[in-house]
Amino acid sequence: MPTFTIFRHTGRRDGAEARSNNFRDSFESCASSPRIGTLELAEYLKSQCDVFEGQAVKPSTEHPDYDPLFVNSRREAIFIFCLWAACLVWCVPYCYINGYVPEDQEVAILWGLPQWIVLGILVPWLIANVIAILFCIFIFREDDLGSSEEDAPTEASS
Amino acid sequence: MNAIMFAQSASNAALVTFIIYILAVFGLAWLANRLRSGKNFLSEYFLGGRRLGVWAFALTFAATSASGGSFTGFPSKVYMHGWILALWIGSYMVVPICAMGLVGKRINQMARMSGAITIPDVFRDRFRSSAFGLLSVALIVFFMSFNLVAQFKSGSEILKTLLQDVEVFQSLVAWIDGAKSGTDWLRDVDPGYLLCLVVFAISVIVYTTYGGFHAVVWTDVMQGIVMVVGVVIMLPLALWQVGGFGTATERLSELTPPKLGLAQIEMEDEVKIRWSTTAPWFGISQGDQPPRLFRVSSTLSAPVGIKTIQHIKIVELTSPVQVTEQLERLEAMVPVDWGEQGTIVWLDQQTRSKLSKHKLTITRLLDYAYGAGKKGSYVRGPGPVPPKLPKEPGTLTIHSPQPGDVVVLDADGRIVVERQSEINVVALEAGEYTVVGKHGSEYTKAVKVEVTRGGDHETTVNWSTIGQQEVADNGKQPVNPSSGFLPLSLAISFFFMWAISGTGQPSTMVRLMAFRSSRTLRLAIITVTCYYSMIYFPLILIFCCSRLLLPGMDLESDRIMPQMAVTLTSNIGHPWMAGLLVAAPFAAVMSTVDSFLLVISSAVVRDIYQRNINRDASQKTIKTMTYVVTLLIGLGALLGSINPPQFLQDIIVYTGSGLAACFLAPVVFAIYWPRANLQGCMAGMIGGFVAHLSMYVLGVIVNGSFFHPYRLFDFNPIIIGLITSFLTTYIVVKLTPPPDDEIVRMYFHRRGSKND
Repeated sequence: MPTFTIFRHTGRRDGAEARSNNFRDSFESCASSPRIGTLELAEYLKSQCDVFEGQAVKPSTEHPDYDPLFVNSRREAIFIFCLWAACLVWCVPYCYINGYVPEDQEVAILWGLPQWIVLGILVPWLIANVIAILFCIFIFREDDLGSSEEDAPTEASS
Repeated sequence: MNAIMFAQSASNAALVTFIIYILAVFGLAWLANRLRSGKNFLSEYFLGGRRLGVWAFALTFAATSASGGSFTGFPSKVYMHGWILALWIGSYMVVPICAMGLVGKRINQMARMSGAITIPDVFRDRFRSSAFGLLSVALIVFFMSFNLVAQFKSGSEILKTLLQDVEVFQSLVAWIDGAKSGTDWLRDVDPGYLLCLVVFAISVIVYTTYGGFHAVVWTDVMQGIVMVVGVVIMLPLALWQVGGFGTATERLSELTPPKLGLAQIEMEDEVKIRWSTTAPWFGISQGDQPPRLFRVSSTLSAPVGIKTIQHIKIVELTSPVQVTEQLERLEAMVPVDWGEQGTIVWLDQQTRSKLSKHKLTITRLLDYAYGAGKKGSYVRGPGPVPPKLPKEPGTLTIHSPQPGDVVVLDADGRIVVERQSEINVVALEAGEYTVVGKHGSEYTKAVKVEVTRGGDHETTVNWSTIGQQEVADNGKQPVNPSSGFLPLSLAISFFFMWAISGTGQPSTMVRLMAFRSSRTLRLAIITVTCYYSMIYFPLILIFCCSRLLLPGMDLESDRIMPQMAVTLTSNIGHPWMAGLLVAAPFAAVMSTVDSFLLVISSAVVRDIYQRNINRDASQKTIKTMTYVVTLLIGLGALLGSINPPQFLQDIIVYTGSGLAACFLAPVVFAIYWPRANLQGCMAGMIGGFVAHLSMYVLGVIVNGSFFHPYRLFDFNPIIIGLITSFLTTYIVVKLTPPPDDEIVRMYFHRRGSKND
């Protein structure tokens, strides 16, 4: 499996899980593209790592050696922001179009509730919950938060 | 009689619940204090040693976010405006993942790197600037102190509702009423409120000061459980008692908003023995037609020596279906003889016996500002809006040969009273008015209505003295025009408000610095997501049902939660459950207040004292300082709440949105943008503060009140504040030099080893 080979050759260090995942993503996208050949892929991977085939490689200035937790958190934050935006884009217009109706227009009922509430709020609420849970299970990374001064022995309070 | 006995047993149950609850809170504080000994005091006291597990973290987060507003203000809003509240609070579907996931992991990591305990700590270390730290401390103390006062008042009001029918409480209130009579600055304070405030404040201050963060977290966990249990019990009871979802929605869609008004009762003789009745109903006979049905809000009381009870708040039901249903309920308890047209009939035996000979005059009766007469207002947008009754009214008596065709204009020429032929005594806010009458030709008369607290004030206009003048055309616009509770622009604003501005609250962010690991955060997001879904949507369902079960509470809708608890449990014959249900809002307020108290005291002790005044302070000094500061802040809030300012709910909105406008952009840029620098983030914080504040200041100029902010493009000030803050930060960062490489490497680059 090519992916494992690449992991081995990058000489991955502890805490570099995020970069490994970037490689995997890059490899998969490159491999599926007919326009990118093996050589280009190898050059790209070399530019992304400190150690390649056992030799030191100068880190790219375009892709600084960011902390994986920072990279993951930023990616997760973008996902969350998009989820919020998607809810906004669906819920407010849907409710406005279907719920803000004149007095002479009947309010449709679905499952015993106003239909605009069910489709504009309740169903999106449930879907958002499912997405949030799936996000936590499959996308959210369990990064190492690092140690803090509380982990070290401290002077006992008097 | 049964109802009274039931109310009494429900109140006793509430008292028992409350005592058990307070004992549990103190027990947890004691345990927390024991646990802390031998460890780093500051970190343990303010952050629990960054070791919170999933349940503790999830529930403390949820309980802190769900303030008293969730269990008092929110149910009240659902009652007043109906299903539109689902859209108002719609963004709660993503609040847990936004508030915890957007910045949680990263802010926790950065706080660990530098040993930060507070949000100002994070800024100070990230940008190596004491000035930034102090600026953020100043903003936190400014906003949260006001908020603390508002929350103290909210907690005391809930406690008062909880205990008002308990005999011991009533005796204590009577004693305090007598004891405070000699103290000038307490003269106008409600003794019941004062007692509850002292009990509430001392409880919170003691357990927070003594137990610190652990006590707050553990009590939050308990409070979080109480809240969800309360909702889970209430939902099926409410649905069962209104006949299920479908019936509830159908009945709700038949309703029209009621009319709100003021009345006065003139008795034949002076009152010899003080009496009071709780929220009595009365009807006005209309001959062959069904009678008009009114409910007196809160308590109707007659002190000794008076002949007239003024400014009684009343609600008139306007939906024929609801009038019929309510009349059936009332007539089942007391027999009613409606008599001839215009007869006023009290629909309970107690009030009837007290008011044998009297004259009742309706002095104001206002339609809803939006939704009046519209069926289905409670099931469609933008939701009905009640009119504003005069808070401290004066009385204008109009003597006229023909009381009809009378119009009263305010100083701006807007109509405040129009063509209400039965009204010739009008309750008005203090101010200058013009009375306009039509009797073949048009007459106007300028009058001044004055109000002095505690006295009866009356301005009489003798119609015969009015001079002839032309009526100005600009006097035709109605007062308080409204575009509904939630117009589109506000719906968008609130989607920002809850999810995005919730992320920017320092009290929320501090919680994010305390969890143990990324795994904890991950599981906590799932937990809070489920938890919020079990609370907020069901609350909408429950309190939409409450309008059907408890009509006419429009003028005291803040009491709908405890009242609903008592009603639901009384209908199934289990009064002890009322105590449990009513504990939920009390728990919500307590869990918010204790967190705010700690955030403010940590800002003072850590960010001002330890980091600027005495860097070498010993653990013992810090500990003493912390206890003293927490105590003093709590006592300060207690004193501020004795005579709290008006507009408390508005203060909560102002402070919450203001904090978000100040803190969100700087935090987001500081943790996610390596290029972010001191100048940019400070400018963003100040820019957000100024933009947000300026909307409120413009509100004074344009709308005449600080708490009616100017809405640029019809958006809530939070949107303006956030956009300004984000743009300012970005532009200033781009225009100023980048931060030191050392800082960027420390916070953004990979460390050499896992636990570097």
